[in-house]
Amino acid sequence: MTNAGPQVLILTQEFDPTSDPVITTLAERGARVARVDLSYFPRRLTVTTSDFGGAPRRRLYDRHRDVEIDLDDLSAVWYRRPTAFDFGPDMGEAEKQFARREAMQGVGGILRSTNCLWVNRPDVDGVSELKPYQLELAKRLGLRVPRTLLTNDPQEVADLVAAEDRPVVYKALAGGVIHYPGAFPGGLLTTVVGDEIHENLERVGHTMCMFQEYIDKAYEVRLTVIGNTYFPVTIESQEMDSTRVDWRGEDAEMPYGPYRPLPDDIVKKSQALLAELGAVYGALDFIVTPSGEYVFLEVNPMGQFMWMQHDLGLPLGDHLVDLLMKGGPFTRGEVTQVGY
Amino acid sequence: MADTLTREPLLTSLSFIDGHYPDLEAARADDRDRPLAYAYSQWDGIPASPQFGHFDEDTQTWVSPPGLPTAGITTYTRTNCYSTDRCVDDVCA
Repeated sequence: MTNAGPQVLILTQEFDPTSDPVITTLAERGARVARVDLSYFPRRLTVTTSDFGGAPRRRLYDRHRDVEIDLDDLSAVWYRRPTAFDFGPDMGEAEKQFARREAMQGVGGILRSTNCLWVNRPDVDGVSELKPYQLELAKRLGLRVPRTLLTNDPQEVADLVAAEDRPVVYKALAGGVIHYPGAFPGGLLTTVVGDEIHENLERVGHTMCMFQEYIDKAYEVRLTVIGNTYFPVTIESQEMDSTRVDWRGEDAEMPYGPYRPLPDDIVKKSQALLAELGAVYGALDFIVTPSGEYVFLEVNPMGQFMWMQHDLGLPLGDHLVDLLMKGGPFTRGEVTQVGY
Repeated sequence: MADTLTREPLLTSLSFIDGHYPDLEAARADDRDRPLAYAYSQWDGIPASPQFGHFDEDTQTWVSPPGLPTAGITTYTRTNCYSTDRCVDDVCA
């Protein structure tokens, strides 16, 4: 290998439009980029660590592309959207379950042992995306969060709706619902609860449900954090019917507002939150009330960002490339806010 | 770690690709058997146009045929998404 640039491993599937521009930029800047989907394992991807036969070896080998990745040579790993191990059609279901568990332990343990920057480690993502935990942590750190009811008890919901004289919203914990025939879970926005809840109360009992007080908004902020660089984007959600309750409802022209830097206090608390989670990357959502108070809604440890780069020209991908090429270790420090 | 290293096919953007049909049982006919979230789900049930393109091993990126946006893929489901790669967020946003 003549190119001695940093080696970056990107774990994601082949169809991931967010990764494509980042990979292109990494290559243009001289990084050695390896994009690997874990579905390549084991039929296309060989994973080996060994203490035998001389110097210890830790490597991934993509047999299809004839590319070897020295895990001790990594600058960073960008953990995006890898799909599940694929053991092929000839293995039985029971055997696949065993093989998957072994692969999770083996591949997971080997990758976890790498001494490089992870954006983000999958275990960090796994914990960080737990919304009840995020909310409690945010409260502990002094951020205002909406009052929240989490339950699978229909009576609790009935009591809440009866007692509240202000609107209450239903919000899914883990994204959209699954429609049949298959589709990506979606189509589920935060919704103000109305009279229909009474005839649907028993459905609360089917799984966990989250209800929150509706917070009056002046506007909203999608804050993308890449390392210690903050990209706060204002969304004038009250300007359009489709975005008033949930700005994801707009599918044509997002009502962006002017760049407004975050107050120091919100930056400090966001840093503390991400430090506690161990996340290098995060996308945080805030409501800003008419009185100017920031209300924390959630953090998405794998939130998308390329849409804002397209729309606003924000150099999000470039900053991610900088981070990946610089490598670890990462520590939370002084924040730079980037406007548009 | 064990449960998060790989994600279910439905939780990745793979499901946006035409021809990727997750192996699911048919939906329950009775809405009362479905979680509350389904009562608030808005989906017109119409999938977007089939996708084209392929993964290019050399550039390690997805390539669309001429006339379609590069690094901009028409999504299959349209749920939560713009018509190109302007997915607001396919995790939860």
